[in-house]
Amino acid sequence: MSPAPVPGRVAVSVMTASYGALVIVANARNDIITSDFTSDWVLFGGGGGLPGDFGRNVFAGSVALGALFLLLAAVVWFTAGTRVALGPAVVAAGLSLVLLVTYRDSGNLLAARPAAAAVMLAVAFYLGSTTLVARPAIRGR
Amino acid sequence: MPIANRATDVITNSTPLVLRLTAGLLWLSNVGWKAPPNLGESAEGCRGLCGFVQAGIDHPVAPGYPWVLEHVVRPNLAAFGWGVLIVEFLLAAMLLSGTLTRLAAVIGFAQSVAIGLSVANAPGEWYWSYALMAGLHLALFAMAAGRTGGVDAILRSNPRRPTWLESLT
Repeated sequence: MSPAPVPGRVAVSVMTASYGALVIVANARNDIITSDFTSDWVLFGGGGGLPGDFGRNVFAGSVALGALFLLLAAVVWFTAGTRVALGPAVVAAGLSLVLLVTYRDSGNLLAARPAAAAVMLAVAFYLGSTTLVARPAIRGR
Repeated sequence: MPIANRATDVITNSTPLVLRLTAGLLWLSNVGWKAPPNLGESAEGCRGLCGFVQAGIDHPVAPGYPWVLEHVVRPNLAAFGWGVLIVEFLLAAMLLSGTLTRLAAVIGFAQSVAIGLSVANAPGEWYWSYALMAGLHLALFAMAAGRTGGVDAILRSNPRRPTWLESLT
């Protein structure tokens, strides 16, 4: 499938992949697939404020969660701007909501915190909106 | 076109995007500490979100607001906490992606004012933080910041977009 000429496809894909890569690196000492939040950070292990607090809040997770974002970046790259994108957008939005409602201070699926779920939903919003470019008109008017 | 004019254009055009991403990151980096199920409430005391509610009761900002915190919010901390978590989660996603940005700006403004009314007078807080947060969302609304590099630009590219979408983007 050839990439569609939709605005932001490359930027969103690269940013999603970068986010996933940072999650993988920052949480590399955590288990690959785990529900436990790490306290043994590769990055962002310093004191409060910037970059420590910010990084720990935004990039918390696990290697598997980071890999999921790399997969999502590939999906954006290959499907944004096509009708096919709607399916992955719905799946990503659904998964982000699951990650949000299962969040507990004791842990979560793939050790995801709400920040990772929000990033996933943001990508889902973008991916879903690009399907409108592939359609002649917005439904539901 | 002179270089100075081009630089001005670049700054003018990119400012809505930069401010929107700044606001998105603000909510993104703060959404995680409202952690269910206890939201900071434990036998040892009150921390996290619970601690902020208590601080709003102990250090009043506006007349009547501490009463609301003490008699409405505090007894229903779980429901309130989930509400805060969901709102701030949606704010992060909407502002980062530029989706329905004007709606997000209104919600972000209201949330900033609500937080300010709760804790602006608490020890260690700088009350101007919350005025600046509210001002940031006001600017996002005024600039319709999702139309620059955001999902709103894609949504608005359809000439047959519904009226409600026009208002919220």
